[in-house]
Amino acid sequence: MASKFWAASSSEEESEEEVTSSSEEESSSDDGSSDSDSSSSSGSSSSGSSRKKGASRFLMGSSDSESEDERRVVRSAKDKAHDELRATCNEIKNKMHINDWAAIQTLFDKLNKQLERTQKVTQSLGVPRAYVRMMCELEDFLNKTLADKPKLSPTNTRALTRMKQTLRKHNAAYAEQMRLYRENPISETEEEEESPSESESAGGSERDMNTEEEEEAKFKSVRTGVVQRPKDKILSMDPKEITYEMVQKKLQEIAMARGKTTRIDRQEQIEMLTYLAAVTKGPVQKVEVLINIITVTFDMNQPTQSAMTVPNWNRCAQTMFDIMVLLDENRHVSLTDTPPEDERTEEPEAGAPTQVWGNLGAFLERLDDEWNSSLKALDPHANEYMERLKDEAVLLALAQKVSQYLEAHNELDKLAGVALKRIQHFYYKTDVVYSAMRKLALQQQQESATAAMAAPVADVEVVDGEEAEGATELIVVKIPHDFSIPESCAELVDQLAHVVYAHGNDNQKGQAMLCTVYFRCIRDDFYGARDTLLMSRIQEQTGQLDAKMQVLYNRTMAQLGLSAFRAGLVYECHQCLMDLYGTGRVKELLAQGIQQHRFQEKTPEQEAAERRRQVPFHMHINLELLESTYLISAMLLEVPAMASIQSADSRKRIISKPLRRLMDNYERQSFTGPPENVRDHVMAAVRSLSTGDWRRAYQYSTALSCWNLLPQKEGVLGMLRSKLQEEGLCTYLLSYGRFYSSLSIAQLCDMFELPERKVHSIVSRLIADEGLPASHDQPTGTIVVHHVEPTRLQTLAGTFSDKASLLVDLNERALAMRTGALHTDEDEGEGRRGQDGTQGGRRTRMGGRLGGTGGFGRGGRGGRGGGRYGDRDRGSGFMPESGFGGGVFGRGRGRRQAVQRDDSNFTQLGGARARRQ
Amino acid sequence: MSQYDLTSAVAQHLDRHLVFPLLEFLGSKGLYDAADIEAAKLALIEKTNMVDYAVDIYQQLNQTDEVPEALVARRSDVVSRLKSLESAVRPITEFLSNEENVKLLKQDKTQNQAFLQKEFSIGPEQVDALYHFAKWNFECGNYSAAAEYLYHYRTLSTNPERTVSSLWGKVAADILLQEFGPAMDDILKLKEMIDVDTFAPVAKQLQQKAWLMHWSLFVFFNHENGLNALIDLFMQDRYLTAIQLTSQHLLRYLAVAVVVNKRRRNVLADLKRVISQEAYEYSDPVTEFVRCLFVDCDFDGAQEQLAKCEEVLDNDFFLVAAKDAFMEAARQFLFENYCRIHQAISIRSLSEKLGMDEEATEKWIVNLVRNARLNAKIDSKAGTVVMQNQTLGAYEQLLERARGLGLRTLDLSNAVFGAMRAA
Repeated sequence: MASKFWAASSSEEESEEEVTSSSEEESSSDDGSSDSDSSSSSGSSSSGSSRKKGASRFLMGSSDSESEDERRVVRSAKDKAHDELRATCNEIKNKMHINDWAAIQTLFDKLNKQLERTQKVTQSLGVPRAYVRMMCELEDFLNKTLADKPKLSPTNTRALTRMKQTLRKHNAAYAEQMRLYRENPISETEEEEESPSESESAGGSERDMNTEEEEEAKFKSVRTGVVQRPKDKILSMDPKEITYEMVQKKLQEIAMARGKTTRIDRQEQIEMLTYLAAVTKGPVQKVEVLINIITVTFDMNQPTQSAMTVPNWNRCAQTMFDIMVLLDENRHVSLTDTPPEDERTEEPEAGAPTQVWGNLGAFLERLDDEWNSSLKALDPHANEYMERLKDEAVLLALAQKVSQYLEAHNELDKLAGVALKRIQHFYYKTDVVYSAMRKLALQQQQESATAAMAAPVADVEVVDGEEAEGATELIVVKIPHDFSIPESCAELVDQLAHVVYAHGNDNQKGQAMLCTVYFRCIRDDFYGARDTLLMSRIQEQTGQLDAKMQVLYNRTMAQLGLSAFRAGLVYECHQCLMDLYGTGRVKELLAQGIQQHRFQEKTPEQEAAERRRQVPFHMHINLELLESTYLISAMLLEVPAMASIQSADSRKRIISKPLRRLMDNYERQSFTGPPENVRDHVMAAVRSLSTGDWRRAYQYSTALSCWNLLPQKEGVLGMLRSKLQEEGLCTYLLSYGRFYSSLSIAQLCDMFELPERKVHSIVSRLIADEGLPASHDQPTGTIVVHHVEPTRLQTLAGTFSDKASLLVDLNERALAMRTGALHTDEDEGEGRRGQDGTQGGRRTRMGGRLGGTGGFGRGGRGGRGGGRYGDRDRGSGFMPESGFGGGVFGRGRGRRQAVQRDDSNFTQLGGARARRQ
Repeated sequence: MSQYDLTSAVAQHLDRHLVFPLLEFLGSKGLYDAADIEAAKLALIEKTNMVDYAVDIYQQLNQTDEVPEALVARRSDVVSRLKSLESAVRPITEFLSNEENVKLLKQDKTQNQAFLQKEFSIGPEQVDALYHFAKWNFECGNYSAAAEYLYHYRTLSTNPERTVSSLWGKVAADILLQEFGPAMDDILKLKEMIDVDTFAPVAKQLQQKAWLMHWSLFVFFNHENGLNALIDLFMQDRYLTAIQLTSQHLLRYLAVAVVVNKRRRNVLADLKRVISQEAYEYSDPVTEFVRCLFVDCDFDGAQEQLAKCEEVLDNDFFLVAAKDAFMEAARQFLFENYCRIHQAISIRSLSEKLGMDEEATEKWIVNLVRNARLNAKIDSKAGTVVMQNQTLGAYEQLLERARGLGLRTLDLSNAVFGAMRAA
């Protein structure tokens, strides 16, 4: 089947036919080609040596359109590219006559660029003959010039030497073609006339022949003319005659060419390999060939720059499936990482254990990366994105296959890698999304199964077409029938995570752990998720993690916060999200878009790195929801705290800086319109809540559209309502309590729609813990307020005593600094935190003290650090304060690290904070 | 009530032999089916070498007189092994039985080893055998012998791992012999060993801490100063972490100890925090009581929980002795907190809350007032207790704040002078 095409060209009559047909075309299009040739050459000559392709192209184009309008319509990009190429060749020839090496050099570069473009436009098909010829001529001329040593201007001499070097390097890649060209220059000369016009002929044929099939036929024959080069001897042989060594040699040739230069025509290699795969002598060799197909395809693009094209990706995937099938059928064949030392000269016996070089895990990883980066390149709202997403099933099927293989061959470390990759496809999926994906996958599977059943012939057809068209056809990857995707995502993730825990390295384990935490978060298992996270102690070393892990960690923290909020755990939610929002770089931290900063210029490398880190759109966490969650939880904590500052002398700390900042801004506005975005809404709610008007606060908060994103919207809003009621009551009592001499509990119940018991318990808590100067009068069911406004003298005396005690404090501290007694008496029991932590702790505590009385700017933060010291749980510090590398306690260290790290646009939050100070 | 029974949770962290008293206790309470308990005992004992006892239980359980073959064979095995071990350790036991000889031993263990080797030809093998012999004795239920041999083994052994292990054995034997004084000392020694060993894998450390805490329950609730020691041990950061990670049910014992122990009010804040943190993983009436009272200020809830507490404590092997003290202390806590936030309380509702009748309540309050624990008066006409104003005036507040200043300054100046003199 595959060889039909090639075999045809090998048989004599047919090739003759081809020649005639192509010469026919040539003659028919002769005037056209000469026209364009002359125009381009005239353009180049008139524009002079310095004029570049822009001008010539323009001229050429214009002459085209003047002379033949209709032709311009049918002229394909391919033909144009060929024209340009040829024009440049001619120009180089002209320059050669006048020994203008500087111009030759620029033209040479131009020619190479054009070649690339031509290859791109024509989708493959190697090097045009004109190009090879040009190279040969250029080389000869160069040698001649070097031998003659004519007098040249200094610029020219320099250009000559440079040309010498570049040409030598460059031509190494085309050595084969050039050798062949030199070997039979006769055939070449014979074709010389033909080849320049060969692509032209296509255009010409289109003009002449109107029926499409004929046109198609022409196309094919033309292509044959191009592809069929003497080099491909093996292609023209009878498949039966091809021996093992021949294939092996060819394979080696291709393998040797790998990584040498970018100028190799990969497409051609792939075609060759596909052909080889069909004529191999046994499974081992076939696997080798197939693996080479994959590696060559991988080489076709730079992973850092652009994503693999879809057809290429599909080919890789299909090839991998083929490999898997082969390996499955031939259990004795296995893959190794180390290239074999001695070459096989013949196919090993069936059944004998054989090793072939190749790493399925790495291939899979690369495919996965390519898939991700192609998603990143697409517009997430376009249909293509959805189409591409559907390929996930293929990837998963492949991953399953590979892990089956690895498990069977006991390659456990790679198995862990593959398992991790699979987890990464599942962890962010909610049950709904998962079941949808599952359905789609099963459907795809069924489709491919029926397709395979119905028409094996059609299958062949596809392959045939693919080869003929140089893989421009979209290869439909079939999902194998034994791909299974379990009903319960949780079990699957659990299993995979166990595999990683058992066999993975530390990094993989960490990632798997974070993924499972994330996974639990979106399934509302806050406690389970939190405990897993704490147990791992990963938050102590986030500074040392690589950027990818940090992003994952941040994403996990965000989800943890969201799930805490859904569970009604406002305090925990705030703790989780605080550090994300403390910096104002949420997008950057979650890798969901690039943020511009006022005071910071990023270098292009940093930007590129950040772009690479981005998470594909379908994995994004909704930022609006996250922001509302954070701000509302901050509001619920901050508003009562603010109220208690007014009422009592207790030195409260600022709980949420971002919220405070927003409030300041809000207050500064002369007019406040009705709320529009998240912040406006929350601000309005804050305003209402701080007067105890929980109803309006509730209205404002529920007006946010992002709640619709929550599946359990009702429950969350109910939770929000009751929280607002409670905090409203607290705020009300703390702000306005002192204006009453007594308050009736029944009335409070009425105002806040709370049961009496709840009101009683809240009031009691305020009295006991928050220092509300009141007490219950049980027989009458009222709250009696004892507030006595201190006289001016008393206030002053109080201030004075505060200052005095501060003075003593500072004195003690100063002394302790001198004598070094500080470590022992102040920070006992903090030893576990290590040196840096101890220092941090001390600083924060001092900050707290200063801030409380003297109003130093950083008092708030210090106080918070001190406070957190109190509520760290499980001895590991709950939340990311110790997390994002440095965090609160190690701020000093954080700053230092921020300076040291090159990758400083993703520094730890500690560093960011330190800078803002 | 059985949902609050912690026996199975606790038993996971105990030695086989230590579980035995728990089962005995459960048997006496009738919370479970007697046959079930007997069966559990048999299952427990089958793995030990107390074959005779096993036979007893077997016969009781199956209402027969016959003895299963396996047990008979087992018995002869055990006895022969015991005999062989005994002969192996004979030189040592003979050596140890002489008081004079024991006095010859020095502090330095390696020296001792050489000395024994030279004088009595007791080598490491014999010392090892002593360990096994003690272990075998312990397995057979011969705790006093085991305790003694283990004690001697510790003085002779140079193997650190074995030493720890023998210490565990010693503690278990002491507990089973109800010698809580020595057990207390050994517990503290064990704790030291565990604390020093920071290089062990984290999981092992955690497990050892959990075990230590569970074993210590036997001692702490029976020793006169046990509750203090319990608070000291459990409230240490690392042990608190261990509680939170592996055995949250220990919070019950911690809570009881804190509530009962009036002198240790300062740890109440920590207890509150831990209990409310772990509420999602573990809660029982005792912890709920603490949470309701101290965290939520929900007095009705606390009252409900307190009623349940009584029963829970009654069915808990460790706490049954502390029940009355706990109830009394809890009631007092409840009352104090209640009074602190009230200006006037009717005696009737108070008596409901405290679970006493009105007259008793009045008496109780009068007693409290008389002991100056409560600044209140009873308005018997209205049937209320009226609290005296307990808020500090501005003047007192000021004094309070400035109280320490003088002393601290004096200290400072002394320190400065001292430093100057030194320099």
